[in-house]
Amino acid sequence: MLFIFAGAPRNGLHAGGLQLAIESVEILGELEHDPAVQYRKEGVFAASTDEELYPLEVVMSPMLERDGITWDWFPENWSFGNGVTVHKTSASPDFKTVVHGTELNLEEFLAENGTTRLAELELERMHIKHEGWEEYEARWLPGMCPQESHMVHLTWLTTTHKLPGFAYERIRSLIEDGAEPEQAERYICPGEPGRYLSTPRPLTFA
Amino acid sequence: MPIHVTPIPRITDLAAPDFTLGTSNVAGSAVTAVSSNSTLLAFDTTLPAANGTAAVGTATVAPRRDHVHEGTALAAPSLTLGTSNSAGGAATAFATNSTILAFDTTLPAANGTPAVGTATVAPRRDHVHAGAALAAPSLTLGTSNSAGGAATAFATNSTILAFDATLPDAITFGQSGAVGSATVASRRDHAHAMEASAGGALTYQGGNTTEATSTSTTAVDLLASSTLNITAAIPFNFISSSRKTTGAVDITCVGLKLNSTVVGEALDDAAHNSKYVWGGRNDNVAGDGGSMVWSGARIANYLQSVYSDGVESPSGAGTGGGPISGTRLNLTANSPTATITSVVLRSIVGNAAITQGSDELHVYSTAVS
Repeated sequence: MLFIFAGAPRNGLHAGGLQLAIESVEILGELEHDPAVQYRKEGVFAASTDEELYPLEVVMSPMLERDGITWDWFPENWSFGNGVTVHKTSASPDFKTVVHGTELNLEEFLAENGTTRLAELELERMHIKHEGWEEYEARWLPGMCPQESHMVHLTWLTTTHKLPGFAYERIRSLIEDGAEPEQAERYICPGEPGRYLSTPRPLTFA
Repeated sequence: MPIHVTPIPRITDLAAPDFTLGTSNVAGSAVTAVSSNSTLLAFDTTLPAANGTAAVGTATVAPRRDHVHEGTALAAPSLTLGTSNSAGGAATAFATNSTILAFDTTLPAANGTPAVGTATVAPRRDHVHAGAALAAPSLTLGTSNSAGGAATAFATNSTILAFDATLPDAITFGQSGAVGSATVASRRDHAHAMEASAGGALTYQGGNTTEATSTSTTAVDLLASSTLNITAAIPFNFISSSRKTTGAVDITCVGLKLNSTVVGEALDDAAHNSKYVWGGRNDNVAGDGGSMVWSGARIANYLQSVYSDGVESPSGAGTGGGPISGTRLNLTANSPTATITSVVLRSIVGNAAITQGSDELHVYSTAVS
């Protein structure tokens, strides 16, 4: 089964750390690691082939719909692989300074209209909804796509069996609520700090 | 019928006794008569005993009112003075006429000159003096208090702030620190926690973000840059960073998808893992590095112009030689001719015990005129 959650684990665990929690520390479920199994948007396939192994079963966290993300957010030929993945998508709208009432910037306006008194012009910042933006915005529930630079973090995992309720809720809490993992010392590797943990960093956009 | 009268014998009146009862018998009074048959006890001629047990009942003699007992026979007091009275010492008897001082009920003075001589009250052993009247310290303020500087004295009445026992707030976007004075000081090594959140998939500009990671043993869409708008005639390039953890002797690989077309698939291919966007070495070693990918214009007959250059070096954990690098990209499909709207890095690990991470994906289009 494929389980999709909103966000990256707020407790610092990365995919490998979350996998350790699920399989070894808290023993919440058995993850799918078969290198022959690949979960895709269109179904569960034999890796690198179009041989469908079995129908796709997906559980999406309610938190995703709150943010405007449904199954339609994932475009064609999207691959979820197997195991655990913490995915990230970045998006930045493009803006253009245009003469008010037109889609022309100042130089284009002057080229079309000749000499113009600046005092007669009003400039405004316009969001250019080009093909790339429109394609991206269409993936969201109507009206839910943020109109500013942002990151979308998603965490998904595949399991060999359906997760019992308590296990699902615990995994959801680890990811979406940032719950502290049990036996936290097991995630600390002095010689390799990034073995099970990610280091958060300030988000910047070019 | 004859009546015999027997006369009642006459009683002769007796004369009144000539004894009279006196009413006064006090000392020094006149002679007093006593009633018939009264017994007058003679005064005892024996001296009273010095001490002993008084007899009860009647006696045949009376003591003189002014009798006295001998005093020499009183027993001497048996109290003796002990020599030890230290705390925890054995019980000590007190001498005759010793004075046991009562505990003083007055609080001791905060300061002053102690009195000498005797006193009628004793202090409690656990008594304390009040501190309010202590003299002000005479400390003076030094001029240097920089980190690592010499020790610095403090001025009189300087306030040394206690360390704050409250954890600092988590950092939140747009948050401003408080200004003004405070009654507590922060530790120099204090740290703010990450922004607390009730979850959610979105991170807006100014927040914290994290890398994309995966343990998938089949290709997975790991890190994407969307909302691009690169038309077919425009070349572009992108830069990214990647890493792998320890866990098993195996590789990791980063592939490339443009829009929905997998141009260079991420494969578990140890023999060629330097021929991808990025490859982690075939060893149980942590490593990281970066890669740059270029793409020319995607026009008819020129659809394989994507190539890459990258490097991976061990990052400390495990063992495994020096940096490895690779160029080219094992293309698995032609580039799409449509406008590029998204660049997606795909990931695969040779063993699920390894984690592949990627981050810092930045896409640039180039000018053509």
